[in-house]
Amino acid sequence: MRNRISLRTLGLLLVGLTLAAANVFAGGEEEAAATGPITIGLLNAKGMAWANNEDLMASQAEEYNSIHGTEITVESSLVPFESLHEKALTDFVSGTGSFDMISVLGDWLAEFIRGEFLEPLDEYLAAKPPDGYPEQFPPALMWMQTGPDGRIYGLPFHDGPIMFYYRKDLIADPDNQAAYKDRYGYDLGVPKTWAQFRDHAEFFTTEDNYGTILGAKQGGQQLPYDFMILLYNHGGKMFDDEWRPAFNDEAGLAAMEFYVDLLNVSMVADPASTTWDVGDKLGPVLEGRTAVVWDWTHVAMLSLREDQSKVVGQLGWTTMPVAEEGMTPYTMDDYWVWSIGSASRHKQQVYDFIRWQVSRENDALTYTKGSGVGVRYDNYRDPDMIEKFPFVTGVEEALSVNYFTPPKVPEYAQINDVIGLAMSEVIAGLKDAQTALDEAEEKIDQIMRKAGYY
Amino acid sequence: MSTSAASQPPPVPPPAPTARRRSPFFIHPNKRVPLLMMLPALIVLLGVGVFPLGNSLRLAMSRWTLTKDPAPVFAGAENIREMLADPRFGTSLKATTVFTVGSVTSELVIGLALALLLSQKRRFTELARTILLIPMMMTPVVVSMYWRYMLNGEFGVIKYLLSLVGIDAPIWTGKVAWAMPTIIVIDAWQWTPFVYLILLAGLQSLPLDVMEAARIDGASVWQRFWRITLPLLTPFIYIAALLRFMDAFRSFDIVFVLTGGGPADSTLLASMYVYMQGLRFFNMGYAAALSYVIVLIVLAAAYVFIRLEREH
Repeated sequence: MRNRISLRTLGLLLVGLTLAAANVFAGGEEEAAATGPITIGLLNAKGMAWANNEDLMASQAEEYNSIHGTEITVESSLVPFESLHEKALTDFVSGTGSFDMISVLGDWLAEFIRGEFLEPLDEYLAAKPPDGYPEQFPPALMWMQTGPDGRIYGLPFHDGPIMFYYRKDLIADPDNQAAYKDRYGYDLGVPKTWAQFRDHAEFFTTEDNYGTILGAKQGGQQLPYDFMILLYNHGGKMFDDEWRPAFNDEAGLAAMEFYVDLLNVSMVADPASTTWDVGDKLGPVLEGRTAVVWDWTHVAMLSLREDQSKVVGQLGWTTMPVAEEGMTPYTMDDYWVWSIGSASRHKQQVYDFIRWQVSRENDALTYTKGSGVGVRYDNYRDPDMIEKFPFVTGVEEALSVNYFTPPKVPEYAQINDVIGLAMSEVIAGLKDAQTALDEAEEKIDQIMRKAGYY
Repeated sequence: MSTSAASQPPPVPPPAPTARRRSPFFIHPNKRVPLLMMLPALIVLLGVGVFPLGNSLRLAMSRWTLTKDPAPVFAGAENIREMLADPRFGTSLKATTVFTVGSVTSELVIGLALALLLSQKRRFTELARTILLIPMMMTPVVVSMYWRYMLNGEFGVIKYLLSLVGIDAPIWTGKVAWAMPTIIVIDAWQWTPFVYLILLAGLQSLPLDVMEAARIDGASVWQRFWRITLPLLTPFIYIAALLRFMDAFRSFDIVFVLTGGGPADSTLLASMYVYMQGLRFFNMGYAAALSYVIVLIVLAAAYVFIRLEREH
């Protein structure tokens, strides 16, 4: 009898503890049943665009509430860019739905869509589209978030095609013009080819400054981007139509060798580039310590701010140089979208908030209140906007002519790693470009084969 | 006497008491209350220790890409086979070994020197001891950020200080030749105080009479150190080396913040590679298998350390 009692006691205790733990982890039913005040969990990267500012997002929520009579509170979780992908995915997989609204970089969309971590927006868009949708949203900015099923999984809010920047003041200087002509035999101007780019960077490399800067840190985002930018503008491409690697050709070799040449042979790129990633080039550009560089649109935006830039009005922007004159220049397009987590318990309310966020007025705030660049045609074409932010015409041009995006496949993180390592090994002098390309091709072929592409 | 004793029949053992069959779950009444008291702690221990360990072992034998597969699929030794064919894992183990040996050795040498220097009461000894402990109290991520700024090629204080004496600072974390020594120095900066603390405690526990006798017998400072202090201090050195080895082998933060494993994988420590597989590519099965191999390596090395210490 005693034994039975003791066992029963232990059993009850275990069941009780299990139930208590389950209740704690489930978070109770209170939140799920909430209909009035709503807290939107927002996952965002630190310091990428105006909307990433926690205070501004909170004030946006207040404004939204006053207009729509809602009681929304935005609880922002701002994490460093390097950790955002990991943070989002671990939350998605846990299925807790901690984050209702997520800012997602184009690179990650295919992976998130395949995992069914994002809510398709088609029904919401059909029922209550944002103002000017779809005609004011460039097709280039709807591409990455369109899934293989043709459904849309996010709305863009911060755009970032790579633009090619040069210093107008340096080019206009008569002394520079004369000296350049003497040295290279042709006029100083905006570089149109990579050979001219190298000459230009070399000419402006001094004891204190380098003609150009790169983002060549292994493990970062920018190094693989840089390879792709050079690859496309040497006439190459990453994959063929069947997703077989196609970069190991003359164009790929020329792209890789040119990049390494800038750092190791011509030595016109700041050697500290091997420690820099996305965003790290900004400082030297705004301090006027470099002559030519390719970088994201926020550089154009911040170069106009007197409190942050020493090159206000001196930075020009245009399309990327190419290998040979007459070739079509390509820009790299990558951007951020607002998405709804598929485990969110407030999908309709979050959609309504996002819908308002991407309105023309709020899109304009991206420029005026932060360092972002908006996504709408009506703002790109607005005369007031063009006067204040002249680069918007360049952004529209970049998006409407020739652009490419990071490969739209869920395996992009691995592809990024392989390309980054190959580039880094060649920069470090451990391998020649052809060997690195051969190995990278083989690795990426294995990744794609294993993933079932062919 | 002995004959008569031998002729007696052997004593019959008393009949064994009838064994009552008890339930395998029987708990002696005296043990029930203590067991109940321990139960919550045991459950927590199972939840946070044993269960994850068992689950990760299951994962290590599974194929599971978190972003693709709905659940782990048993794959037997597939991950081990993949590991054997993965040259990058070998690279990471090599880098980890270089890092661990480099950092632990320098920490032991400098820690011992500091302990010897500060074991005697002098002016400012107490202050120096306190200051020395500061790096150890900082979290590794903060230390890494701190060094990242100091090493910055644009505005870093180290670049500035070297420029004052006419030296061009190298790209510390951007060149293969410099990246590994740099992270070893940072690790040594943070953890030498830990070694120093253990060795200082060891020095202060050494018998003074032996030292005194050696001094009276005319032993030089070097002889006293080499023949008396060092042998007596060896158990403490083993402990410090073992603890630091286990910690250094799983170092992650410095590399994550400063180098990302580069340039050209020169600082790709094993834990960084596990992180990449697990939380960048989300190959959970493979990452779990890698982790188990690292744990086994650390356990084997710890066993060797302990054996050596015992033999000593």
